[in-house]
Amino acid sequence: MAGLHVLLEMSSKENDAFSRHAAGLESAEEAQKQATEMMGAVGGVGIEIEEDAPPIPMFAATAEDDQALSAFALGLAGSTGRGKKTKSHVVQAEVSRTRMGELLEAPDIQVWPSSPMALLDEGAVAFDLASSRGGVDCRPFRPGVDIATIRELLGVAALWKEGAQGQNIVVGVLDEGIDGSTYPVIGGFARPNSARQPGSAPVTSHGSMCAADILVAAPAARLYDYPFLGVPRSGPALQMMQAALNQFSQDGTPQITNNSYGFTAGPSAITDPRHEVNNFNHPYNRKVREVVAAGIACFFAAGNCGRDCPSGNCHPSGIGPGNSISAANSMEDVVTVAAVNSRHERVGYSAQGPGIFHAQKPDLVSYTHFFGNFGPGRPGGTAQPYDNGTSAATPVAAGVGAALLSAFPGLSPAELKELLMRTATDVGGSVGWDRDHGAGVINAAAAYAQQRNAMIISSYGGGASGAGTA
Amino acid sequence: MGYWIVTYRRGLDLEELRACLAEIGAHLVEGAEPIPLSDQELSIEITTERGALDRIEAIDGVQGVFPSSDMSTF
Repeated sequence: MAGLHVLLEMSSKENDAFSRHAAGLESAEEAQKQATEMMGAVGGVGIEIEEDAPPIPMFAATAEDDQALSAFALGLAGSTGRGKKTKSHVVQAEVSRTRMGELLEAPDIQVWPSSPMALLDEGAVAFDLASSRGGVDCRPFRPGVDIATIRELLGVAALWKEGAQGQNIVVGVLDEGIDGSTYPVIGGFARPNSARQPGSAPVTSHGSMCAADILVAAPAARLYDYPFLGVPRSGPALQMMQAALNQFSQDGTPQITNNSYGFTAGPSAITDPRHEVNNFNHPYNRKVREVVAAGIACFFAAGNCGRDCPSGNCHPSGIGPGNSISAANSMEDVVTVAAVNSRHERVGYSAQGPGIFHAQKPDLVSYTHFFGNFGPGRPGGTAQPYDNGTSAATPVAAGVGAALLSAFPGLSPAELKELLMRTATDVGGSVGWDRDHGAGVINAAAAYAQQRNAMIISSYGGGASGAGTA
Repeated sequence: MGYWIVTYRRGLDLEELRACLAEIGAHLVEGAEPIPLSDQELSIEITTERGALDRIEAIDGVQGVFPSSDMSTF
């Protein structure tokens, strides 16, 4: 039967669950008998109970049922048996699609997906997560690594084998401009009479580096070039954001923008209350919010003014925790990306939270210091030793976003951001979000797996939110 | 001369704004176009001296003047 593999959960109140389960493990016949009894009248044609799999006793009704969980733990430790009474049992089964609807309607049964899993060390790269906790990579930095290493670390193979390589997704790159003869620029915008038109920048440009790095995870994505950084002020940036919005209103692209730029100083709010860094209502900041609200996910670099080894162009007022993530880069609406190397060590220039507009910044970290556009044999040559900065980490993350959107095109910017944060690999020694790494290192494979599971639950009518169907 | 972003209400003619700015010694940036900020508000980039900001804000229909500050690649 080519059915759906599911877990069927039914209420139960059993006191001798452990011994009964042990008996089921001893005998396939007993296991089948227990499962059949549990299924009762619901079983039959179209539902095949997994062989050698006795019902699994469950002792707490929900993940939030702390009281039942405590009683269970106490019961296990003591001899009273208190807390050992089951709340439910779970039966593994393969169910035909025709029976699935009936099961979903059944009042006493909960249907859960039994999703495929993969070994986490499949194709893993040798880095020591434990030894990198709290580690900082400062000048002289560790050597760069190749793109293949970054792809393995991201786990993009899990998406690619399902065909999710960023196809049908366009990423807008607001930057210095892209070399369109090297990278797939299909449009964009430039100010009238601007010397730099979309696709006309040299391959050594900062924008070309961003283009290369988007393709790390999303090689089938296409690009819009918004070359405003030839005139690096917020006025032209505002115009480019509007151009992206205009395009999006016509055909739904770009679905993502990459923004590897920002401010390197923190002017006083007293002397410069209207500066982009201080004023949430600055037109540029307002326009960024509009772009996200319209449905375009905006990835912003956290910046390179981290405390340990800040970039040379950082003003003292913009360096370190609380100062270095500012303006639109610190808005709650956007995805703010800090940087680690391939060993999961924070690069010492990577900007640190809290953000000025939204305290819980950065949102996550992504990879930098690899041979993407720059490096031996790469299109940009060795003008720089490797792709670097939070500028490089951000398009890597944007590319992951593009690959995910090609699989789940219905994800909103907020859902995409939440998915990336929820599935990030926690690093840095403290549990959960921290000011150096946000929610952790971006993990494409985990994000894809979790969203796919949410889709499965949603397709069963389980009501999972944010399933992202088109 | 510095770069600034002027926000102004819809209905204020751009040529009229340009003329008012010119009287103060301020100018629209070449190639800059009005950007819609809301149903009632537009913005455009200009160049002017900091000392002229108060007079620009006093133009009928102008709602605010914000810096157009330098940005850097990261």
